[in-house]
Amino acid sequence: MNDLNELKTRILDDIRSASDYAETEEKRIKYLSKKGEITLLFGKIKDIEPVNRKEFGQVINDLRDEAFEIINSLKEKYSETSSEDIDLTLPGKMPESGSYHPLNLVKDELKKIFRKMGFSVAAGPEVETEYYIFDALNMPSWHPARKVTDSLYVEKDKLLRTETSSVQIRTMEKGKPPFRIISPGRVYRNEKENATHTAMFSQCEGLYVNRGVSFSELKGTLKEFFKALYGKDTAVRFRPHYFPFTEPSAEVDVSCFKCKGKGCSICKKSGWLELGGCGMVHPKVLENVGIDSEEFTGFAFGLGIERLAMLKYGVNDIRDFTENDLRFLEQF
Amino acid sequence: MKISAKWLKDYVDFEISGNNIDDIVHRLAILGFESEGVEHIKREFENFVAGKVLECVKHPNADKLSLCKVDVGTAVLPIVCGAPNAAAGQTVPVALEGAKVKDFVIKKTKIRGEESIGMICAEDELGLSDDHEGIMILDDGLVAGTPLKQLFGCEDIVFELEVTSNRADALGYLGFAREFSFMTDKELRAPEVVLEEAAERTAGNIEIEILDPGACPRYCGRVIKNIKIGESPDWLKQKLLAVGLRPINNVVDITNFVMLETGHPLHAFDLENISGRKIIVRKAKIGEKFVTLDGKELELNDRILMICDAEKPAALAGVMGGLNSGVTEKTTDVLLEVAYFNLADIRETVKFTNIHTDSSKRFERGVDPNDSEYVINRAAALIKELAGGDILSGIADCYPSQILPKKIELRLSRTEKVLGFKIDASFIVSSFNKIELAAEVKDADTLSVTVPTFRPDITREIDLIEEAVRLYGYDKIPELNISSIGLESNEDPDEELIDSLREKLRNLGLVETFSKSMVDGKYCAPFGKDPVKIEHPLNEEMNHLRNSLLLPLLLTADKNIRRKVGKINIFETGRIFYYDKGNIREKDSAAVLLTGIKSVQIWHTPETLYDFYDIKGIVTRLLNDLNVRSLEFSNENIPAYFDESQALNITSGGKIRGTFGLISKETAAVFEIRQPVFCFEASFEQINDMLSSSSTDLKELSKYPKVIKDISVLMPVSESADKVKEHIKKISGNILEDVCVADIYKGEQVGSGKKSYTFRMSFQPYEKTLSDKDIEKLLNKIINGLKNDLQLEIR
Ligand SMILES: [Zn+2]
Repeated sequence: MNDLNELKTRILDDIRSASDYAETEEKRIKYLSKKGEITLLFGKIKDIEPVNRKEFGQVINDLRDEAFEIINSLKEKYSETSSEDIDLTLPGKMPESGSYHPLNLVKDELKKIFRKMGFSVAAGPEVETEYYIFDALNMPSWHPARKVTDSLYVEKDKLLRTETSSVQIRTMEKGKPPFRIISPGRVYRNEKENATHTAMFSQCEGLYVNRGVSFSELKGTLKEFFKALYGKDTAVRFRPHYFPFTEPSAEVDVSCFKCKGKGCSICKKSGWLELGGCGMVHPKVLENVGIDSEEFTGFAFGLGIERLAMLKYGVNDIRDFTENDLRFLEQF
Repeated sequence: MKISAKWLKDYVDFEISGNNIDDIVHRLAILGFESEGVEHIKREFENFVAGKVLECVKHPNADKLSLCKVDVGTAVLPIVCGAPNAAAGQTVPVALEGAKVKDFVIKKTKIRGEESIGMICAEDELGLSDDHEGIMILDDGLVAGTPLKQLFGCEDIVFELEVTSNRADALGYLGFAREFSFMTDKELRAPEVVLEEAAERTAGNIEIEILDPGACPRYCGRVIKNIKIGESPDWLKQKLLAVGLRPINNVVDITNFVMLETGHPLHAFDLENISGRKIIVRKAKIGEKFVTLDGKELELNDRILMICDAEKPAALAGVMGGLNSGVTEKTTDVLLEVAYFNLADIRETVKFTNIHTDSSKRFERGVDPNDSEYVINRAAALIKELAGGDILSGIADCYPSQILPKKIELRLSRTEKVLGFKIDASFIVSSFNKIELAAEVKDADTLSVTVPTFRPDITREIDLIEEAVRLYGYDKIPELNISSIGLESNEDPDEELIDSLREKLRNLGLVETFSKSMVDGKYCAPFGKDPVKIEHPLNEEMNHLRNSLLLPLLLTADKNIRRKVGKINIFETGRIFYYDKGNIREKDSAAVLLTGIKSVQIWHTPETLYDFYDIKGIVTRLLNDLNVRSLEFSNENIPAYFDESQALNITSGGKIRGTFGLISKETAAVFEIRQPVFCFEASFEQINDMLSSSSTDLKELSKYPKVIKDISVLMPVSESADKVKEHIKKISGNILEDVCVADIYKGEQVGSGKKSYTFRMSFQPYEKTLSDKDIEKLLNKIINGLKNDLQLEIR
């Protein structure tokens, strides 16, 4: 009887080892077909002593049932189900897929483009001292942005950074030129929130300091960037502007990607989208971090990530980004 | 700053019209003056006339209305009027039948039973201002029936220009016209001032003393006597209205007009109210009281610069006049003030009083100290012209140390280096001269530039380089490429890990969120770490910085549960902030949250809910994907915001590297969440530490078949799967490749207090194929081991 149980285990294990549909079918033929091993066992009942016959019969019956069960379940598993069982209209069994946040999608894209252009990604603290946010950046003490009520302070002389330019200062302080970095990250203002303003938003600032870096290269670099972002027909327009930390300074307009400069509702009929600020690093700023401003020049720029994302995805309210409504996020 | 095209034409003969407006807007933008808006004003006033109120009585059926009979030239009309100031004898603007007032058309009507044909208008109804305090009163000299078009009709284009904060000079028409004249290449025509002075001398009528010449480097005064205060003529009213200022009276209107024209604010005092006929410019005394023009009482301090007479303060210097010193209808003699104040002192006053005026805005940026004579003479001449009177002879001018134009050198080589292209010296010289930067060639590489005092923004060479390229045209800057060869990398070390972690979490089917760093402090409490408070928060929802990433994830979960989102599977990476021994720490962290329906019922699967094993699985997969080998979990020292019975710490090297599991009921309640929430949180530092302590060893692939065997073990419910697994591993040795729990059974067949776990073991031989005998031997060894060592029953 022990032999029989051993046989049973061996057969069932052998069937279980079938690794695909074809192999399972082979096992079925091997054991359960007319000349299969199990089928043949039934022929042996007559050779068994009558006292053991009942038990023998029970065991092989069980064996046959279990073998069937295993084969059927394996076949189902390997699911080469016959064609008439397939309902082509039922939805597929989709693997689950997650999603990235739209702001990070844009940020990732910026990082990719700028890395290709030889920029590395730098980071720094979000809680900063006034020195790194204002003084080192040539912001006079009376500058409107320095009003205590316009920034979010956590202690005396400690506030949430209002620009990621602080990262530029820290990077320049630590090393020697050349530097070519971008610093994407969160920035903070004490600002009433509405559809276009939030107290926290994201910037991507860039800096390139070297011998012979010029304003024309700044324009060329931003044009390359916007071409990579919006397509090769994209044009860039510089408008004179004022920032304490750059000179000459410019605001950057990019030809509207929607109407190609003809004028539409997105660009408010102007054909241009205002997408950032930039300029040549003010000599004072270089001097503040101990770089010889006669030998080295540099350019810097800043782009608003929310603005780029709002334009890209047609989002009309900036607050949607931090609302984290899954019905919104799952669309990305 | 509002610029009326019609007004601008007084100084530069260039026509702006609907045809060239787009081009002008573009060229102004390229020059540094962006238009925030362009308004086409066309006021026809069709069917509006001047009318005389012949009679005005109370409406019989309404207290607040009156019945008027108004002569409009062609007829006398009955008009029901609601304004409290309506009275017989007035000359008023009347909208006749068919006139369009705001959005409705005037019709013959009955108001409370009384006939009314037409409407007497207030200023806002005429579109002249926002004033709706009563009907507008016109000059009595007007003939009834005079069309209003003759009075107020106009066509104009008004630009709302952004003037950057460094450009103080462009806040006046003349300063802007200087730029506009350069742009259009048309001559700039500043109004000529012809001054007719009386014999009486200013000197005996006013004395000026500056006690703080640092704060007030220059103060000019002029006295005009015997004037008649009255309404301004239409040309003046129209100019002010075009840029949004309300006409008040001729003298005040002139000071406003000259301020707008020259960019230099000026002030008019009633000379009667200047006691001692003396102006003293000094800082206020601590506690000194002052009432402003608009009736606000201030208690001053010694940083506030005041214009005082012999006895008392008369004005907040450069910001606002006082209640009792200004020009009124009764004024006959005025003192005109044109001063120059130190920028910082004006900012101090503005900051202290929070009063922002057209005047303070200009002084804060810096006006020209040296145009004072022109400005004061221009205003005096206009006053004489429009209000009569005698201009006393001479200016009372206190200017102790003169502010002179600066000389700055500009190197052409440096200009080319910064810009990346060459601008011809001749172009720079000629265009600089056009905007009154006197430039001359010093040597082959150097220009010497005299910077007038109206351009305080230009202080060093780089400022001149900017001017050169601005005048050259930002649209003509070439676009040069930089070499894309990477320099020495300044890449942040966390950057790559953050991105790879995000990618892995997304690939596990999770949705990335992005939350504010600022949170309501009440949510920080459960997470232990001492949170960082924001000093002047916008609102209570943003008064702290998050001290855990679980905090925003739980808030997001709550909001989405309320939105009836069934499945919530989210992650976020970002900074957390907290105090550690008095110092603010910032840590990059990652967190995952699962709650609700894992999969909805669909034809191939029944509905399932998220449970502990889901978060454990995600964490294990994540750490496996990050190549963290030999994961260890521990149930000790679980943070209190987790439910200890369903949470584990990830440990390595005896240190906690993160925690996952069920959020405690108490913590969930803080976020008003009443369903099980499963979370994971670790800082990048913690994750990084695990990475550095693990290395990838590639496994050898075996030629021999793998053998899979199941055994079912009956054990007390308190027993853990891990213990059995570990024992199986110990007994089997290296041949055991993997062991996992394939099935769990609890129920009648195993009896209460027991559970049956089916362990599926895969054996991977490397030297030979396992024979049935080998397998049996191995299985027996395992079974005996479990029976004897752990006293477990094998089914
Ligand atoms: Zn467009």
